[in-house]
Amino acid sequence: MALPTVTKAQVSLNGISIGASYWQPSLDYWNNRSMLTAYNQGEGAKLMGAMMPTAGLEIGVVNGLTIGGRVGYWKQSAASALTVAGINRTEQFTLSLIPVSAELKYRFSLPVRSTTDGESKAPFLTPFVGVGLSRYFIKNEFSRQVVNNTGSVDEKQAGSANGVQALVGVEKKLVKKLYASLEARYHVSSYKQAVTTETGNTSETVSLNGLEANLSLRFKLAN
Amino acid sequence: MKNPMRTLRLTACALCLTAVLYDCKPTEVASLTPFTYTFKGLDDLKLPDVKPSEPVVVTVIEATVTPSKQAAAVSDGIAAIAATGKVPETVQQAVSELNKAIPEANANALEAGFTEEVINTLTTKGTLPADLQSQVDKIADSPMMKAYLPTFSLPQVDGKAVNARSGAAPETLAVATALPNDNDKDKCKKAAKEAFDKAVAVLDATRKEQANAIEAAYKKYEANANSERSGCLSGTPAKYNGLIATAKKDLDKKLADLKASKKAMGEAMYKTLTASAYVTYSELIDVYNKMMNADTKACELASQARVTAAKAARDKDLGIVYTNYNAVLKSAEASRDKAVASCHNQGNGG
Repeated sequence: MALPTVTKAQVSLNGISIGASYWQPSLDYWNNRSMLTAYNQGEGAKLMGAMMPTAGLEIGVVNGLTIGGRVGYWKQSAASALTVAGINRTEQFTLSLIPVSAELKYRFSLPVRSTTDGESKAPFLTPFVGVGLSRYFIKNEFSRQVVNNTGSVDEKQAGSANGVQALVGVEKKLVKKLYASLEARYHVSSYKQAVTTETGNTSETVSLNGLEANLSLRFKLAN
Repeated sequence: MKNPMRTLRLTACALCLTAVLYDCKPTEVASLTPFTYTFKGLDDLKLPDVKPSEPVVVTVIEATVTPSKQAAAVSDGIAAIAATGKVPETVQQAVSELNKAIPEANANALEAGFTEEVINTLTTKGTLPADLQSQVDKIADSPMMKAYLPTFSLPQVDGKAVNARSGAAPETLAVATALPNDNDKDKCKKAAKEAFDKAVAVLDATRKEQANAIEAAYKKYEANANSERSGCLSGTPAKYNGLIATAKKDLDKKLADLKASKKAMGEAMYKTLTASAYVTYSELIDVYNKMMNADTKACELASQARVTAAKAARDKDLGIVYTNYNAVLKSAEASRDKAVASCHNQGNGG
């Protein structure tokens, strides 16, 4: 006997979610070619992956398909003491990234489970896929303290970039109206970073490509 | 229930769309401020200020010719004879002295020899026929004649008579030290070399500015010296030509006075006084011509001395500039070498 399929005719409406991700953007310029390579007495410093809190909102469109938005906040720092030509200084560089995306997500309709006592149960896990258009807000914070000489700075710079994201994950209902999801998301984006040296000005491309793993809780607002 | 949720849905859609579409154009992030190497001893190198110095003043004393006071007194005495008909005591005394210097034969020869043509030639060219010249020279050498002849002093340049040599050897100029090449690609060493090159460029510019000012001052002094020389060379002949013209007038007057007094003084006295007038005039013209030549030479020597003094001032000032430059350059090299040495083994730095 074919088990009835619980369709998603009644789509998830007005869900909000909060979560935490681990995202490691490439940041190839910073990690491989910038002044960070001279940190730590020449061994170099890298901006590795970091935890990123996220918050999102979904609106149901048709069966299984939702449209929504998500925002995160990623931050990483590198610091080092430096000595050149007898001049001592300390530098600290902090990079903040705020990805904001508009997403289309599809949750697959899986057949309901049948228990041993004949009752129908929702699927154990609900897989989903999605794509998003994203905008990245970038902020540098840089401080340099030079001992007994000129050249100390404390400055900030900001910029933005566009990109796309592809995501895949699974969701599980915990209790009524509360779901937990585990998601893998791949960012594709890059931004322009101006670089001024003693010899001149250039513009470097900094890649934000990288994999993000996210664990979040979704609270379903509508039936 | 559905309407508020629908409103919320639409609002959320609008917010999402706005967030994505707001200022879609990507913006470049501005650069971090790069670390600029500063090297002590290279940042504010300056050359000491050197202003062009004034050259030593060249003192010039023109030649002087002093006519004989006794001769002038005799001329005045002669001039009075025509009016008084008597020969003054000064004239008589002078004649008795002049007779010892001018024998009667010479007096006759001179009176006959100094024709108008000979006097004009003497006046314009300063020359006499050889036989007359030898007679004049012999009479002028007589001790009794000396008191009636003009005296003179040669011109002087810087206290030396014009015939003396002058000139000074120029100072040796210092030469800037050549710099070694440094092609090391290390950022710190490269920055130290660039700071050094920049400092040297500033020193070079200052050195050239100071040298140009010193050279310009020298050119000014040289031009002034040449201008004074031109003025001197054109003024000297004019001065002596004027003096010669005055002497000729005096001679003409004296000869006229002698002619007018001939009857009162007698033939012998007349001839002696006429001969002495010619000898005195000849010697005066000779002295004027010699002094004119000496003063002309003094013009040249004074100009040379002024140019030499200007050169000496210039060379001395340039020597100071170059000495300063070499000292500061050496200090800059030491600072650069110290900075390069401290670049080594201390990490690459930003």
